[in-house]
Amino acid sequence: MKWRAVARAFAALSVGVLVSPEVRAQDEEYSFDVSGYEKKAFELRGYAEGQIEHLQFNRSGALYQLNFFEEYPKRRKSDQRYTGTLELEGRYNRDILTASFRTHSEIVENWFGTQHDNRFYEALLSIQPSPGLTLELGKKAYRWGTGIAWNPVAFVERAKDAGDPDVSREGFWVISADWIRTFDGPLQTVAFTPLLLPTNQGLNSGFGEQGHLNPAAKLYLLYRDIDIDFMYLGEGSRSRRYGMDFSASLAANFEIHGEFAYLTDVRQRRATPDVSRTSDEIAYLFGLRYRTQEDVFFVVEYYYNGEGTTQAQQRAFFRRVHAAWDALPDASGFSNLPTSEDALERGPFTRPNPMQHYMNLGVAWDEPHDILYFTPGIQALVNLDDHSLSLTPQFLYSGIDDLEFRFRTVIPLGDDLDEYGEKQNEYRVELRVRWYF
Amino acid sequence: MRYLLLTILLLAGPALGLDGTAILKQVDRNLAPESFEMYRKLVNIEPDGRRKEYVLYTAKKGRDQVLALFLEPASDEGRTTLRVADNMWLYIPDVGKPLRITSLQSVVGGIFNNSDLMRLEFSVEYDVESIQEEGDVYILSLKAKTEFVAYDRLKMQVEKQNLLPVTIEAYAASGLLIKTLRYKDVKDFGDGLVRPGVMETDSPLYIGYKSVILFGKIQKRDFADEVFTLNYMPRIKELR
Repeated sequence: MKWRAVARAFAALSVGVLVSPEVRAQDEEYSFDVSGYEKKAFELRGYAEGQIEHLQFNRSGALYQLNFFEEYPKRRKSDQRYTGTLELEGRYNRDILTASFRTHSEIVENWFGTQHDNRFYEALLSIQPSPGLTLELGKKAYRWGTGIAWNPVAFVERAKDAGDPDVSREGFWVISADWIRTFDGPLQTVAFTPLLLPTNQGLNSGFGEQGHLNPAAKLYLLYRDIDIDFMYLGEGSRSRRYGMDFSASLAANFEIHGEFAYLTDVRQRRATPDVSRTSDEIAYLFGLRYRTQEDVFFVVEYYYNGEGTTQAQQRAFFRRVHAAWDALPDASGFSNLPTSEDALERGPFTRPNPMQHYMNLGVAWDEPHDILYFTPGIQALVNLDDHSLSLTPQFLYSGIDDLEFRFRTVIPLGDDLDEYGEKQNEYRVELRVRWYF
Repeated sequence: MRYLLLTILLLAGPALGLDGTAILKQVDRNLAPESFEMYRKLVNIEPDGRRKEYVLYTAKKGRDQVLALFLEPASDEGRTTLRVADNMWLYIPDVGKPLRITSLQSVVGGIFNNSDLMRLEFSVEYDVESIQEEGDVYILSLKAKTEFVAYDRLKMQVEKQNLLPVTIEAYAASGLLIKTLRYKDVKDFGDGLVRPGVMETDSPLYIGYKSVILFGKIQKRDFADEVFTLNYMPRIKELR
């Protein structure tokens, strides 16, 4: 925005400070011209991102063997992955009508070659007859739940990466409404969000079985300074499910949150694909966030996933993979394994955090020793069933205008047949630079 | 009306004893209408002269509802903070959902924390413990009404003549001075609002650092209550 600064300087010199529309602090160099921030009908913003990763492979890990068995007899010790990402967010607003979109373009180069991906993460038309009512049609990414690493009540969204939960995700095509009312008294706000998420003729194919309307709804209450949500997803592409969550501040630096989900007819799969059964299951999460006076920030979350696999089931799956690997070049053992291609929505044994009991422990220190915009931190995702874990030390710096740097290492730690001991990588080092515009 | 109240306060003060609460309420009213919209620029200045600037659009309704939308820098554009009484939330467009935050943390880094950016009226958050006269200023000693308020005590210097704050010292419950706010450059914002256009802040906890807020536009505006809710946060851009 250098041109704006030049224009300001020119205006101040030629017109004079007294008649300038700017606010100027006496004896200082800073100034503020409000006219440069008038609302525009069309706005476009976004970011471009480059990421370099070094992956050191764990060649005895079941997930390495699953991902690389087709390369046999080649074996890789390590690989570099280069990812370029562009996200654009546009918005056109006129009176009660708003059209908005978010695109996601990605190019990845690694051992397997170069892959491209371009798609709309969101594309939405909104009509807002009053501040308390909005009608929406289009592709939208909902984010339900108060948990940070996991969200058992996230009934209408794509899977989340507990190790990188803030990454933007693709939405689904929906028709929805949002109705808000406020009150005086203990119940301060009520908001109701009903929606339909149809799966027809390939629409929303990632949501599940085709040919369903998939009605869902969320009811939000702000009651006595507690955020409370109730969620519902009707029978359709996925089984019927009910949920609730809450979040409350117990002090100026202490927050607690929780989620509970009741999931009907959950399909449980064993290591052999022909054996499956259904049952009603629950999933829940409790967590807290605490901040010290020195700006050290703690997150603790406990997660129970009733849909998850038991340790015995998970180990049986890992043994099957190892047996298939040992039988190479005969690759027939890898067929019929319960996996799929989708990176995060993979089969029940290979998706992130497939088992039942987990902890998320995070510590971050904002601006230690007066180093502005610098945040070192570490996250541990602990599998309480097999006591394996993933450690992620991270450094974040955003002190240069419009740039953000993130450096981190992901280190899975565990024995053979444990979740994190069977991961593809021994460790992964990652540098990400993001430029916002 | 403001001058009438000021005159009454000044005339009645010596006879009846100073009413610190009334003065504090008038300070609030002199700084802004009860419901308004505002544009401000925040500048964080480091000891080596480097600076980072943020521009925010702010809307406030009544005594305890306020929101702020970041317009610059690009990395923060679209971020929204909402405060309803002691509740505070942050919405980040890339994350896509509001997250409850605390008044002590800072969404902008540097000396300002969320409480500074999302401040309610002083008389809503603080009780007046005592008032003194010192030359041409009153000195108000303020105590936080609840533990959710970021600073346990404030020592506020108020100009007698126009009942505007000059300096505010913010203390933790331990008695530690956390920061000092200095109001400067009184200007006319229109519609009878004459108040400081600049607020500078420094802190003994951040030696050599300084944060400045430049107030660019403050004007009275009424908003629907529904605007100050979690569900409305992703749509706040349409408010401007």
